Formats: sequence, C-alpha cells, structure tokens
Amino acid sequence: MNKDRTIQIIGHIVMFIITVCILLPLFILIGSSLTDNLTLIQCGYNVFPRKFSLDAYEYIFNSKESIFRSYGISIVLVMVGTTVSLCLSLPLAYAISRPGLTLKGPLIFYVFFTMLFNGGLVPTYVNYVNVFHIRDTFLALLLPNLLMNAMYILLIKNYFQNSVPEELMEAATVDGAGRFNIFLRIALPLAKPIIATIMLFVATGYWNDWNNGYVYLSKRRDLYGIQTLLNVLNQNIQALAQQDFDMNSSAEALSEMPTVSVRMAMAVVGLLPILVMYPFLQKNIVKGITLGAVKG
Amino acid sequence: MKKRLLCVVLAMTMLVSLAGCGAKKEESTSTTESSVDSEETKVAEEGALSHAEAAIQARKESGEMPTISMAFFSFTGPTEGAERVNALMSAHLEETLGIKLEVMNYELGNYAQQIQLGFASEDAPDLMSTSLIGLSNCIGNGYFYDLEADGLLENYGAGIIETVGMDAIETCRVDGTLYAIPNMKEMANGLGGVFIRKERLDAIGYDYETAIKDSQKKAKAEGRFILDDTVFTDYEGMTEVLALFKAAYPDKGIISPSTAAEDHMVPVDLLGGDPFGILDYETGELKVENLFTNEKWLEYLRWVRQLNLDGYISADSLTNETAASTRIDAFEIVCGMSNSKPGQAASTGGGPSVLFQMEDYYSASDSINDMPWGISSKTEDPVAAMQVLNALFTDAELSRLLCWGEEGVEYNLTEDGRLELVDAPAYDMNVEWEMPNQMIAGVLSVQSANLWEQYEQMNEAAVKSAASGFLFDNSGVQNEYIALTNVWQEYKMQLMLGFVDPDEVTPELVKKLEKAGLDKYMEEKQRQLDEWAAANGK
Amino acid sequence: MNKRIKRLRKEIVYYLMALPGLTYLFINNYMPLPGLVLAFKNYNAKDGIWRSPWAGFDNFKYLFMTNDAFVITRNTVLYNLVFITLNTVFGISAAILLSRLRAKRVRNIYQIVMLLPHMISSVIISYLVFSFLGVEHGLINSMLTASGKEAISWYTEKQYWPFILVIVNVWKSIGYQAILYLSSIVSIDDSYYEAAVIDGANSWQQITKITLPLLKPTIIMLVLLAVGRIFNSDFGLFYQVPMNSGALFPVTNTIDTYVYRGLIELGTITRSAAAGMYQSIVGFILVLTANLIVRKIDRDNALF
Repeated sequence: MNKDRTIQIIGHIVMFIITVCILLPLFILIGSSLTDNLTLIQCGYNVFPRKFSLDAYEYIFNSKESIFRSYGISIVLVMVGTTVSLCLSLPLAYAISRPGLTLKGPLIFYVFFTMLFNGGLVPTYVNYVNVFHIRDTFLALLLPNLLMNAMYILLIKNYFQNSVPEELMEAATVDGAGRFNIFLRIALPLAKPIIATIMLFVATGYWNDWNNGYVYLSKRRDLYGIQTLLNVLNQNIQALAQQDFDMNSSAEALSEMPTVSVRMAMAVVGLLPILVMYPFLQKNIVKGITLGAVKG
Repeated sequence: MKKRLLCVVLAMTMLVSLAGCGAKKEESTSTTESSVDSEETKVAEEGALSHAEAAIQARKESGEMPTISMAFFSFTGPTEGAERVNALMSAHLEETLGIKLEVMNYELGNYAQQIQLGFASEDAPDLMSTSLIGLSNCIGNGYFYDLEADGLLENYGAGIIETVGMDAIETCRVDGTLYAIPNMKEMANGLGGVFIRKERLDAIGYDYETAIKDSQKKAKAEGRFILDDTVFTDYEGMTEVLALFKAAYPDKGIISPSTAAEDHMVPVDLLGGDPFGILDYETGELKVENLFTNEKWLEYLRWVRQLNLDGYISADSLTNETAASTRIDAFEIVCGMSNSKPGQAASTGGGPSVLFQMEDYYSASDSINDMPWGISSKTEDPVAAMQVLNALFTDAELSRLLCWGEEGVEYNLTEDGRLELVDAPAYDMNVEWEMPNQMIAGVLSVQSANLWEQYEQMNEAAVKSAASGFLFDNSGVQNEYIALTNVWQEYKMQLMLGFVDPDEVTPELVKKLEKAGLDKYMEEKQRQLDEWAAANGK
Repeated sequence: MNKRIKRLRKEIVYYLMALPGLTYLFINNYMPLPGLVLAFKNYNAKDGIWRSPWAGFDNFKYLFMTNDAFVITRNTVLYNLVFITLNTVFGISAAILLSRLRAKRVRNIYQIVMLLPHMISSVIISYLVFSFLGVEHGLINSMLTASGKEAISWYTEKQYWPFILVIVNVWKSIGYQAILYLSSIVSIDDSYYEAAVIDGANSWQQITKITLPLLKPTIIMLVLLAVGRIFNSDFGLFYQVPMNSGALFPVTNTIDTYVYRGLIELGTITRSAAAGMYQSIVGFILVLTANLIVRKIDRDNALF
C-alpha cells in the first residue's frame, strides 16, 4: 500500500508540472487579452495586465458580424456533426472489425487510402459545389472533410477488435440475437471509452474548423461559425499589418483596432465555451474515457 | 505584387504618351470594323443608334435584364453598408443600361483563392480586378476574354477609349490580344521616403517649416518637382535628423525600416514585381541587371546596417508583426519608411507628417498595367459586361457610389464639391485606387482640391523606366522563381532591417541565388524584354 | 456456390452497416480524386481541368531541382521521426500515469487541461512562444538579464530551434496523444491486474507485462499511420511559430513551408497538387513497406 502512495504522489507531481507548463502560456494569453493594446506593444506580453483594458473584447463583440449568432452556429454544427459522424463511423468501423469478413482487407484499405490521398482543394470544391450544390448552405460547414476521418475509423475498428471480447458476442449470437442488435446492445456499450474519445476529437475538429466556412460560404457570411469569424478577423488584421509595414493606405483601417490584444482575446473567445462546457464534458466524455480506470 | 499595389492610391489622367504603341493601335481598330452582331446592326441602321444604345434598347424591349457580376478585393471584405450601396449601384445600372449588377467583394487573403475556385466551378465573375493576382497570371490562367472580339471595345467601350486613352490600353495587350483595361491611377512614386509626424518633430524642437520651405525653394530653382510637406535629403542628412530623436529618446527604437526596400527605397525598376533581375533607371538601357550587387542597393543597405548598429532599430523588429503605423501611434518607434504620392504626408503614420525624401520620383515599367480590369472568359454576355465596364470608367455617379458610398449617409458634399466623409462610414472600402476610375468619384475634403493636378505633375516629372509598359510573364521559369524566392526569404528581413552586414552576406546570397537559377531567370527577363522592345520599336 | 451465398447472407448486414460511411468517403475523398491529374497538367480556367494541356512531370521538377531539396526533405523526415517517437513515449507515459491516479476530480482536471493546447491555432501559439522568446520583453530574456547573463536573439540563432520546435510540439500534442492511448488502457480488463497483484507483480511489472503488450495494437496502428505522413509537416509549427524568420530556415524549412513560400504569389494549383501527390506517394510506399514488415513479424497487428 505504501508503494501505491508513492506512485500516487509522484503521479500527481508529474501531472501537476505538466498542467502548469500548459497553463502558464494560457494565462499569458488571458492576461494579454486584458491588457491595453499600446502597453502590450511597448512592454510585451505578460500574465498580469500592466494596464487593464477591455478594449479587445469590446472590439470583438461590437464587430459587424454577430458573435453570438456565430457561437450558436458553431454549437449546432458541433452537435449535428458529432452525431452524424458517430452514426456513420461506428457501424463502418464495427463492420470492418469483424473477423473473417470476406472484404475486410479491401475495405480497410479503402478507408486507409483516404488518409493519404485526396483530390486537393480545387477538385473537392468543384465536386461539392457543382455536383452537390452545397455552397452557401449549412451543409457546407458539415460535409467537407470533417465528417469522417480514416484514423478515427481505424482506431474504433481496432478497439472493437481488441478490447471488446469476441466471446460475449458469440454468446449473444447463440442466444439468437441479430447481428445489428449485437452491435447496438453489446458492442457499443462496451466501446464507451473509444466512443467518448472520438466524440471529443470530432467535436474539437468541428469547433476548431474555420476553413470550410471560409471557402464555401462566399455569400452567406451570416452562416460563419465562430472560428471562421475569428479567423477572418485575424487574417484581416494580419493582412493589414503586413501591408502597412510600409505605412500605406491601410493605415486608417488599422488605427482604431486594438490589433495585438484583439488576437489574444479572439483565442480566449474561441476557448471560452470549452471552459464553460467543462462540467458537461466531465460528466459525459471524460468520465466515458476513464470509465473503469484506476487499475492495480 | 501585393506591396506594389498598395503604393497606388489615386487616379490620374492617362495623357502620358507611350512611344511605339501607335502603329499597333491602328491595326487593332481597323480589324474590328466589319464584325458586329447582325441583329444589333439592323437596329443601329434603322434608328441611327450607336451599338451601345441599340443594345440597351434591345434589353429594355425584351424586358430581360442580364446580371453582370464584378469582383474585387478590399482589405476586410464587405462592410456593413455594402448591401445597401450595391443595391443602389444595381438600380442605377438597371436604369441606365438595363443591366443588374452583382458585387463580389472578398477580403485580401481570400481574393485570389475565391477567384480561382469561382473559375473552376463555373461561377466566375463577369468583370474582375487583377489586383493581387497580376495580369500575367490572369492571362496565363485563362481568366480573360479578348476585349476586341466582335468589336467589343470599339462598339461598347467608346467611353473607355476616350477616358483611358489607347496608348495606356495598349500596355495590356499580350501576344496581339487585348485582355484588360488599366485603371485610372498614378503612374509614379517618390522613392526613399521617411515619414515623421509633425508633433514628434515639434517635441524635439525641429523646425520643419523652414526645412520644407528651403526644399521647395531649392527645388523650384532647379526646376525639380516636389510634393507638399516634403524635405529633400540624403542618407547623411536623414541620419542627422534621426540622431536628434536618438538623443531625445535613447531607449526607443527610432525607425522601422522598409521591408519592401527594393520597391520603395531604391531607384530600380523591378520589371514585374520580383527582385530577380532589375533595370537601373539611371542607365536608361534595356539591360537586365542583378539587384543584389547593385551599388545603390548596397549603399542603402549599408545605411540601414549602420542605423541598426547604432541602436536606431528595435531588436524585436525581425519578428514584429505589428503594423508600423500602429507602432508609431503607440510611440514605440518614431517613424517609418515608405514610397510616396501626393496627399500622403497628410495622414501617413497616424497624423500630419513631414516626408523626408532621399530619392527622386520614378515611374516603373508596370506603373500603368499592374492592376487593370478585365472581362472574364466565362462571361455569358460580353456586351453587357463591356457596357458595365464602360460605365465604371465614365459614370461619375456609379464610381462615386462604388468608391465612397451613398451621399448623405457615407459622405456629405462640401461647398466646393469635395466629399466630407462621416465618422466611421458604414460603407468603408478603402480601395478606391483599385477601382476602374476613382478620379471621377471626387476628392475628399481632407485632400487638396488640386490633387489630380499634383498627380499629373508628378507623373510628368518622374523618371520613366525605359521599359514602360513591359509585362513580364514568369510562367516559363516558375521553378527558378520558387527556388529564388526561398533563398531570398532566408536573407530578406535580416538585410532590410540591418541585422547583418550587407557586404558580408551579399557574396553568399548571390552564390545561393545563382545556384537557384538567377542567371536563367534574368536571361528570360532579358529575352522577353528584347522581344518586347523589338515589337514596340524601342 | 451455395456456400458463398450463405456467407454473403451472413455478412450482408455488415456491408449494409458499412455502406453509409463508405458512401461518404466515396463522395468526399474518391470523387475529387481524378483531380490529382492536375499535377500533370498545365491548367488554365478556360479549358478546365480536363481539357488543359498536359505538362508531363514539369510540375514536380521544382521539388527536386533546388539545392534546398535535401535540406527540406531531411528536416521534414527527421522532425517527424522525433515527433513520432516522443509523441508515442510521452503519450503512453501520460496515459498510464493518468490511468493510475485515484483522485477522480483532479484527474479529470488534468485531462481537460492537457487537451487545451490542441484547441489553439498555430498563430496564437506563435505569439505565446514569442512571449517567452522575444528579444526585448520576452520572459526568458528578462530572466537571463535579471541573473546577469546576456540576452539571446532567439529568432536568429538557429541552433536552439530544433529543441524549441520539439518542445512546442510536445506541448501541443501530449494531451491528444495521451487521451488516444487512455481509451485503450481503460478497456483492459481489471482481472489481468488482479491476477498480477496476486502473483506479486509490482506496478512497474504490471505496466511492462500487461499494459504495454495490450496497448501494442494501438501503438502499431498509430505509428503506422504517422509514418504515412512522414513527408508532411505541421505548417503552423514550422512557419508561424518561428515567425518565418529567414535565419532559421536551415532548421525550419520543410517541404510544406518551401512549397508555400514559393507558391503564395504564383497561386498555381498544379504545382501544389504535384507537391501533395509526391508527399502522399512517398508516405503510401512507406506505410505499405512498414505494414509488410509488421505482417511478417506479427500478422494480427498489421493494418491490412
């Protein structure tokens, strides 16, 4: 028992150090976002604001596009995207994890191949726009690239294969349960940890994505999710700054903008919901991942 | 290219004659005479209407209004008032031409990509600005329509020819085909400028009024052109002024050096925007030279290097991504460098400034055709597209809407007819210089009423590149371009900000560039230049 | 014949389950795939992708004809090898540590915190790095000067950057990796450990004898997949984080940053298509080879 205590203590120390290493830069992020822009330019970034200011947040929340609508779109997108993604990925992964499936090898290869080769931006765009007409619709945020990921499918497949006991399922077959029922009633509940993990990753993917909105929503800017909105803001600032290195005509557009602190504030704004949703995450996802942890 | 484009701010008259274009011009107008749309010819004959009027009448009679889309970039994409102003423009065109207008405005970082995707997916604009993409690229990518097909320009773009002038238009002809129309803008820049805010000069007690007056007097005596609020100086004189600041603020970074020095600070012609092979204005010869061993270039770099060694340049400059004007506003640094044009000293660097200028005024080879407008190769109605383009060049009301917005909302007219912008206008593009003709859109109240005359004077006074109108197409040497760009980027910022000794680094840089294909690239430039010279009788 | 039909009938439900997912992959990944032909084309919008003239292998040339070809390939591959190794080692270690902690609440906090860097864009990471490494106001230089040492101009001294990039990469991906492995670890049946405890195995033995062997399939798969992307690099890490500083190119230029710098103003899609294809094909060959080796040694754990 004594040994276990040592492990616990060492474990907490190590994890604590890691946590601090991760959090320190994030505190700088938050501190800088609350610092006056000019002070930031003159004195550099710091954890504690040398001169407190909410200008950056004011700028973001007063900008022409509604940040709350974008939050809403992002949240809907994450929920819809994650649900659809799991509904597609789980059955596929389960199917290709079945031992002895005739087309197992080819199907795994079919999935794996998509990880390495893709048509590139322009052909993908042409396909989605000319064939499926998703430009300037919500589907444009949902469909391209993010819905399924070969690596996740293979991870789930591996999990079904290695961590869900085959005997249990065979027993159920003997009892006369249908194959789909076995998947629903036996395999899925046992796969909770991997489902929670993948759910987290897919949700993160949707939450972080700005590219789909940027590329596919050329006219419907009101459909921008939060990250697209923030990224466009950020790119504009960066573009203006680069142009302005030689002090040309973009100066007017820049002079009113808290350029430095605003970027920091944008990162915080992007992270905020995650912190707000923390209790939910802990309850449903983190718990799912660590279900049955604490070994030995 | 991006940086160049921003130097361009306002329009001007295109009266500067370009020798050698005349012969070609006659050819092009005569060949188009015979081929015109038969139906419209009939109408034209019956009512003695011009082709353009006939087309408008036919549209109005049929009751079908085509929609013409125009694409351009602005720094931050459409602003709040864009929808309203776009609707006004469309309504205006519906009335005058029987055509609906759709505006496709993308932000700076997205413009080239959206145009590319638009063309790939059959949703290309009908009219577009070549800014950020470049005329050569647009032609190479197959974006553009032949403007003289079926007498298009002649029959429906008479106003364009009159406004822009055939000489300027000819600079957009490549391999015999006319692809685009230059927009109305200035055709020269003052090089080697340092802008210092007047209040900062006041603070250290520098008498700039006298200095400006002396410079004006001297320039007048020499018959030299000079802009308002300008002091002519040289590296030494500049250092003296900066030294006053260094003495007053020993802990501050004093100056933010140019990061586009090859374009803004040194009198060389970049022949198409990249620094790999240049013309020296002074020699006046059509001989492509190596920028990196050019004595003027090295002299400039040595000056910056000395400034850095003496502590005038902040140590964080290399990684500083904050705009110079913002840093000047925050008083983190005192001043910055740029090229110049009329009216610029009034507002650059966040307030009224004095321009210390170390070089003369120069007009580069692509000063005319660096961001012309073209009609898309995918347009379904080239006639309507040309008529809209024509209106953009000639219709003052349309141009004013496009550049500045709605009267009474975005601006009010002053007594002398200038435009007084309201605070934080809802329609706020900041890209009037990109538009076909911002000259007819008026002058702002903060600008001097004779702004256009100043442009004209500067254009005339400027030293003109021997290759004026030449357009370099690098599609045959893109592999070299990529390699050269990567080598140059490795050294660029350190050299331009004075963190390395130019005399020490140059041999190494040149050796690497040569390995990356500098000679081949310059040869190609020379070859195209010779061809161009032969074709244009130079 | 009969047997085959019987088998098909047995399996058909699996194929039906797979169908929606396979369809999506077909639409998203396979339908645009003919676009790869762009790499061999001299594209212009007028003719479109298919009717544009052929260019042979011209679009690939720039990747090889430069002196930088060796440097960018070396950088890309070496960094990836280090990243794969460290991500695996640290990811597994953190996952095992996490799985052994008893205090649930604290453990949950660790997990969430470790995931946060994964959600921050490279641009922001580059500012955070700069807040440490800035010459005038950076935290590290402030500490150096405070302790009487000379400040370092971090963004021009290339010798530090291999370490800086590795540290940033670990910072960014440790949580993600840990959680990937954690899901496999927690699925290990408690009875294994209980049996081991009865046999007197200590914690270390439990890890090496039970946890790691049972993690093997996941490790092998993740490493194999990483090998497939060994010619690709995290653009943000190599471009944004070093702030595109020229003096650092010898240690920060990778295939992706090289291509980006060269093409940003040219905007030619054919050359970027060629670069992507080159990276994919090399990765593909490497994965197939690695997979073949795995198959020879341990058939069950091969990818296919």
